[in-house]
Amino acid sequence: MSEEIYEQMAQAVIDGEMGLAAELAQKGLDQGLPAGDILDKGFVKGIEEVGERFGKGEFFLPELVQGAECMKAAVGVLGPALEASKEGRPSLGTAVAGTVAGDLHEIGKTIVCSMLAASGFDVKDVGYDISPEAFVKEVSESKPQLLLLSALLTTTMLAQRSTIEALEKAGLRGDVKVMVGGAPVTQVWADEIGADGYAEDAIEAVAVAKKLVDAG
Amino acid sequence: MTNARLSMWGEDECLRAHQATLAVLVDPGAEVQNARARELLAAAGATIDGTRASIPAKLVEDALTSAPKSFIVMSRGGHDPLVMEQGNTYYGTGGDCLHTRDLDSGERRRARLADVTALAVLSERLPGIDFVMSMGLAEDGPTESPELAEFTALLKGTRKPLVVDPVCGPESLAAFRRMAALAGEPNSFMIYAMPTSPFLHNESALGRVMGCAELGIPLIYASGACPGFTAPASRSAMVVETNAEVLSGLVIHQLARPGAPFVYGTSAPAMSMSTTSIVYVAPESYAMQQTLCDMGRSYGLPSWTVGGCADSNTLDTQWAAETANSLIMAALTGCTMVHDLGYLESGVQSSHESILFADELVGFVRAYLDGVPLDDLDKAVSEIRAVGPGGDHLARPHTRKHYRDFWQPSLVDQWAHDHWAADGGKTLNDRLTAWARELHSQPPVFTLDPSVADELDAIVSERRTA
Repeated sequence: MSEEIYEQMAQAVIDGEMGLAAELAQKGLDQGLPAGDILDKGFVKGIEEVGERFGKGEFFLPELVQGAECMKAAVGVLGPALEASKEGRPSLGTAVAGTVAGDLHEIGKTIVCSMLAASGFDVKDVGYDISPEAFVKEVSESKPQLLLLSALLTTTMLAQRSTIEALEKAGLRGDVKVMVGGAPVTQVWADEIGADGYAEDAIEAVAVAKKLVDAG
Repeated sequence: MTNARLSMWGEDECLRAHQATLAVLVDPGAEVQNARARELLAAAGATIDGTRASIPAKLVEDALTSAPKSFIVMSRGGHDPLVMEQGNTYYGTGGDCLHTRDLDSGERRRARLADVTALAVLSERLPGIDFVMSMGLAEDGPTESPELAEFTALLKGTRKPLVVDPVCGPESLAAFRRMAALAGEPNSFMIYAMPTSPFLHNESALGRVMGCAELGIPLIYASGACPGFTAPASRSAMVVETNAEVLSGLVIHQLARPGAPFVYGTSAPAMSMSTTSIVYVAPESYAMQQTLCDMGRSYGLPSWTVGGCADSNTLDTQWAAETANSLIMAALTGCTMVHDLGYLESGVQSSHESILFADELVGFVRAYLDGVPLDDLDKAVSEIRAVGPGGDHLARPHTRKHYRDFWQPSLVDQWAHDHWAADGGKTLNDRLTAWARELHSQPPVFTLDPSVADELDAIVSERRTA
């Protein structure tokens, strides 16, 4: 019986049905299924399938982003129960991501967040035009393993450097691995500003994130 | 100049899209992140709520009326000016490639200021290149305000009109003007700016929009909306959104100074939903660009589009096909300016070879678009009669006088096989590289007066230390 609902949950993520995902999460709780099982045996299987099909080129970005939205919807319903049972979903790692100060472009960053979420990271997307101080505050409060700084413009790339400097000043630099990305960003720039990781695209970002978390 | 062109939309379709554009400019309107721009809009009758402007139709119609239908951008000598009006089509390179294909080694490497100049020096020689952009985000340029260093690198390489697309504050606009004047002609460049789609005119873009209007520097305003990302995944919605973003920019521009020169920018990039990379040569993009150019024509504004470029990562068959396809599609739009000639890797990489090839294709396309004029029909009939059935025209003075009117390739091979084989069996790429190296080894056709170059360099270092 429960096998069937788990399959439906996975399918909802694959189909990108956000409303249905939330509904199924509630239905599972109502049936007395453990919140951790609902996540791992149901929804996570779905997002893993989405990630796999994306990797094979069968799924495109809209499927990926909507799959991640379904996960969010399900976790939104399961949240209190997960907390109460102290069952955490086994996560690959925790990450905070945002577009740096002065830059309003967030699609690239959003795609990276979706890819990371679909790959099993717990990702907090803090939005765009985020000041170094706000990133520092976020790192000290959320204590993520990874901090991802996105910049689309050559002029706003500089804020990646100042954010890293602000982390150093706050004594938090050693607590978090910093990844940088965005159209004008290169490995040379990442090295120059002392970032821990750089990826050219969202797919590579996942590989780099995994490596950095393992290394950490 | 040529008249042959394609239309996908007639007046009826343009009017329907225009009305949809007016509707979205009222609701949702546009985000205007500049206080002065909002004041101008409010004073003219727009409804302002916070940073959101709801723009009524009258403002759009007023702006379309006051924007000039024709203006001139000068060269700094040696080349014709650009007469910016519908009916003319000019071709130019693209801006800001991170990488370049090294002419000596063939390797892809980061672009430097010397590359910006070298590609401008090449463009200076080529008859198919009418305007020039900084084809490199220079690795060795200053990290802050790189725009003046790149502008200087261009001024050193070419006298052709320049298009500059810096992300810079309005203070740089006056500096560009001063530098262009020092180099010989203040009215020899244009500025490019774009909103952040969907419907957001940010402070930096508006600084350039209003600064250009006030200084009378021609502005190209183009949207980079992308279907499924920053615009709905629908061709009609993309065209309406793009049009609305450009026209709301035009409204602010014309309010800042009515009659200031403005170019209606069209581009409709796609983004691959599987690879997440920007795609320049997609069939839908060119269909949308065509209809946007039809819109631009219906407004009577000079327009701007993309062509002669490639998504391919290297100089392969895909590159050649994309460059040729996109150039002919862009030329057929009848757009006033076609830029990005010579792009590889979706605008990430430049190369000498790809610019040379695009230049060759411009010759081909211009000859094609000359069409078949009928103004010499009487003479044609008398020539047919003069030779009659069974003869030949080789010895006719008419032939000698006119056969050079036909396009002559310089790099495309048209020899018979044995001649080609005896000459080493070279491919197009072999010939392009060899010719680019040959041109590079010759003295440049233009050199900037060293004392002027020094003055320009001084302006760049002033800014760096300021």
